Amino acid sequence: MDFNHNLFALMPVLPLLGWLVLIVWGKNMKEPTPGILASSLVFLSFVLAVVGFVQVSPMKEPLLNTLRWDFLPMWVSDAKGVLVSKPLQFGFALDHLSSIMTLIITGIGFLIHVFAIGYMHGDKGFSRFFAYLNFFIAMMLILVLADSYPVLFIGWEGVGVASYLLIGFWYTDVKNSDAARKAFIVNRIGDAFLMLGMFLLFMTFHTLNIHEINSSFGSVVIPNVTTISTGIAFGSPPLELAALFLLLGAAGKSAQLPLSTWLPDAMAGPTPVSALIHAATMVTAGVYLVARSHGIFANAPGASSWVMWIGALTAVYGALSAIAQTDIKKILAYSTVSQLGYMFIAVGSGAYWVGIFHVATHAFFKALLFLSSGSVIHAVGGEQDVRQMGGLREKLPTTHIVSLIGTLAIAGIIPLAGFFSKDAILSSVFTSPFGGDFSGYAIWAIGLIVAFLTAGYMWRWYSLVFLGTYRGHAHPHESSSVMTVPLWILAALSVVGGFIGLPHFLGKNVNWLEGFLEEAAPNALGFHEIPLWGELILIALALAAAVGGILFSRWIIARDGVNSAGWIATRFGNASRKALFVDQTYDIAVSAPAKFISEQLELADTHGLDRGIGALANGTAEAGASLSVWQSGFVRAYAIAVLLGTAILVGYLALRSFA
Amino acid sequence: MNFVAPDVNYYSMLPFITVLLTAVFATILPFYVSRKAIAGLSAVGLLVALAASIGLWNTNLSSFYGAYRSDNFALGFGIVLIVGALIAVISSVDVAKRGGTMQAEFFAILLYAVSGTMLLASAHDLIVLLIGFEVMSLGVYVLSSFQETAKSEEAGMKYFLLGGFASAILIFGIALVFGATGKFGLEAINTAVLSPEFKNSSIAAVGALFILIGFGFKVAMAPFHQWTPDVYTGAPTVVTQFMSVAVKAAAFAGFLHIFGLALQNVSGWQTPLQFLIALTLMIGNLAALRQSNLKRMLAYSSVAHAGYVGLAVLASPSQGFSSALYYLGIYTLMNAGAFAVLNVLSKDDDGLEIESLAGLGSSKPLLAATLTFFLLSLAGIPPLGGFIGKYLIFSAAASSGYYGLVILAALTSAVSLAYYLRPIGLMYFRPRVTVLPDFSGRSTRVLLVVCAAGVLILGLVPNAVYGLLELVKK
Repeated sequence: MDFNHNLFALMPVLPLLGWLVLIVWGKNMKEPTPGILASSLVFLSFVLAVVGFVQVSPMKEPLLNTLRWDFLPMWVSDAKGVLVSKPLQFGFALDHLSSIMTLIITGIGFLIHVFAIGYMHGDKGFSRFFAYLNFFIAMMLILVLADSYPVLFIGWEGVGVASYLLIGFWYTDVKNSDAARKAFIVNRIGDAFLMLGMFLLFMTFHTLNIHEINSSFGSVVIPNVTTISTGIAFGSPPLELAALFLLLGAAGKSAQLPLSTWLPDAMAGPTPVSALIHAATMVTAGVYLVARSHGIFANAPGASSWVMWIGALTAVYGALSAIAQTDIKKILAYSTVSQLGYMFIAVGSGAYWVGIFHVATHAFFKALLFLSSGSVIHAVGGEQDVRQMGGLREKLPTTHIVSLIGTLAIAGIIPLAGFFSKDAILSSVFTSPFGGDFSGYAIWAIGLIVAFLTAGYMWRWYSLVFLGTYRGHAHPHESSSVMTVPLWILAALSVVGGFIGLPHFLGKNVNWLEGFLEEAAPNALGFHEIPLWGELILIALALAAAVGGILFSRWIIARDGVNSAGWIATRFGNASRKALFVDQTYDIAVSAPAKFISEQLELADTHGLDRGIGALANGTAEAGASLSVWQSGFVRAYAIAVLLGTAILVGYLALRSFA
Repeated sequence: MNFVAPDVNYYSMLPFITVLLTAVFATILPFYVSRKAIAGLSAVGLLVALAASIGLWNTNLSSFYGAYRSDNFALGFGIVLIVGALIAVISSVDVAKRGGTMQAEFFAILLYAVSGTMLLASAHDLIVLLIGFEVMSLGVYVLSSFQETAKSEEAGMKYFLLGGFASAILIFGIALVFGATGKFGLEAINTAVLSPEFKNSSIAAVGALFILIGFGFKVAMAPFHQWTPDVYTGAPTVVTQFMSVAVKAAAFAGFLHIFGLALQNVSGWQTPLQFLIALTLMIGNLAALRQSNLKRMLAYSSVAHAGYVGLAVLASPSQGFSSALYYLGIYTLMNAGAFAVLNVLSKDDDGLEIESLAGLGSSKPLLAATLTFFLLSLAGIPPLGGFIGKYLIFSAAASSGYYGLVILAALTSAVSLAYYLRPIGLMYFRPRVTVLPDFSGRSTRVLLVVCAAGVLILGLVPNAVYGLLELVKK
């Protein structure tokens, strides 16, 4: 056995083991043993992720584990149309892209595990919680390490299950289990499209191995001229359609329009879950899927511009919905929707490293913000309404400082992490080869507006929670160090995280991340060049939007006060609070008709089908006792049935030979 | 005229002979040793036969001028059949506590039936095949009426009368095929059909149809399935367990051989078979929905599964043979496993009401967990073996172009979820109402765990075994 090649494949195995142990023996363990066990296993995975990172850094090709087995028997037609057995392998691949993802998942995952030891203190389901968290980490690692789409899909479904279990973790409240079901069902819609995409890819490429598909595109693609080695033309219908199916799958998992409504409801889960699954890792799986399938998307310009537009619309939708929310976590949830939109803009523009860059920085500051709000909720005794907070600056000094860092980072204030990644997104969409000039500039403008709104609602979040005087009735106290240490680490990452992707004008090789991902997720070809002064203007505008947003927000709060009787009461404020009525629209357009149809079907079922089956089955239920001719229990009746069947078949044959 | 010694290669028939000899010993020895010793002897004999089958793998020996062949197809089926019989023998041990079925003759007759099934799977000649078919059937008729209850005797009688009727049709079909081609050997028939001088295609087609009906009866395909619920419910549970797996698997071996080798180029049977499969899938699954008795529900479920395997007969032999074999191997583990649980939980051979399973999850965790496993696998939930089995058969049929039937099969197997999941829901989410007996001893518990592990492994690493089977195709 080749040790070096299989070490990284242990990454998902360790947390899976933790899950198994905790689900079987967890009940007998005393707090905090399950938490420590789960955290240390994730830490070991993190160590493996670091080792893998070091291993894979100098390599050009992905590292494949040698311990793999033929998983699904499959057949493909070869050139002569003969079916050839080509089983699908269950295998993992570690390349630069998945290496970055494993570092984020296990690193942030570990910090959140540790935080949760403090946060979940005293909960009845303490060991169950860590079992689920470990299960999630294992599935997420399978997702990013998969070297074929079906294996990716196993992880994809696995994280969906983990998310379902954790959103409904406090399942005794019907609201929580409803939210869990909603998340699961909306995700299933996306999953169905992901499966369709896989079918189409298999038909087109005769393989589902991701690296084979990506490398089947010639290394040089000149738009609109070249056909690639598989004979599938740039932007050809099967490619575009497959990419669109993948996009819809990604939209489900990453809460993009039109499948975005589940994420805000998912905040029903415990806060560490929101931080880990619904901000830092799982919801970025859609972005990862697009970057992972870069070969397909780079050669599907139509689908790529759809990715950009969906991202842009979602970004503005999330930002508009966030500004009038009153729940401390809901604000962050809509902000996540909006930031995921940014990531989609990036990968849609063809700059895949930029999408992953924002995945990383967003994981830092959004996990930080969620954990901070967890710390706040913990401190004020479970209160989540920001109008009942305020003045926590003195009472929770640590949480306050790290929250301020997180707020400034997401707002895009130089030199914090969010500034660099947001700037990279805006400049890549400005110069994108996809969607024509108009789309590029329009989406850039939308991105700028979203940057303004982001700074605004995040400043509102910060000032309602921490500034002014305390408006609630609890006795806030700072959390224990098991919770504050992870906060400090995340805050530090939010400060320095941006330096892995410095802008181009600072020099050709200062951007470490782009160079690192050059092989695994190369940029699409055909980005426009813009002069230095143009780049500087873009940066200045982005910065101005961020600062402007904060100043505007300050002004509004100073004018209207905390309860904001002024503008929140307006029609605009109402629309924002109701998340632009998307849920209501679905109720009217989908749920109500579906309800009507299912009621009718139920009628038909009970009166028609059930009776039919009932008659059929009741006849067979108690043999001999029933008078039914069909299953009477009499040998002669059965013999006649055999004879009749024979007669019908022979009659068919006779008729066929005459006809 | 010189005397020519017949071509007999005993080595190639080692598994078959082992089983037959064990059966002979099991017939004589009960006068001298205890019933339990006979059970042990049967198990040992079957294990030796199993080892012999594995030892013969890839040797491709044959005997009687090719009428009996130990190719990988026959050996693979032989292994499945022996495993099915072993499960029945082991299950029968614990049930002895509640009386019935356990006279020592049970093992002798069971082993004779097993030797018939193995002959059926190895035959490459219609006459040998028929002998295997009848040896198997006679044994099973007796086993069905083994219980001294009116129900069991009625079951045996019913099965015997209808089985005789079906055999008559089958033999008529064989006669017609012989009349049309002048051959009994499976390959020879195909060669005759393909030859340009072949004139009797309509006679061959009628013969094929009659053979189809004979086998359709044995594997329980609608509309020739009606004996199944009655006989499966009336027969002792151990016998039902054996019938539902080994007899079905052996009948399918013959079915595949005849239609995949001998009659593959005869037209006229494909459309009727499609019709039978469609009807079987619908009737089996819909009727199972409304059963209140677990034993009867499993009987209908086995009708439905005959429909799934039937798809493999339609598919081209290169994929159909191996996928059917893989499916039947998994089916043997999961279906016999489910029957084994049913067996130890029921107070007599009438089976038990599904409602009475309520609360089993907490009172009998191992039995409930393994039953859950088997039912989920029967329903075809990944990553269990039943899913892979269905996947293989469906993809074999789809690549032969039977999309409509595959869609119907997928839809009906979605329907089947309803009746497979209901017992699971009752076991885990309802409080206990009835106290069920529990006859399970160590042997049954080990058996259940092994079967469950097999179902899981065959689902997780399918190609480990399926890769071997791909050599099976002709």
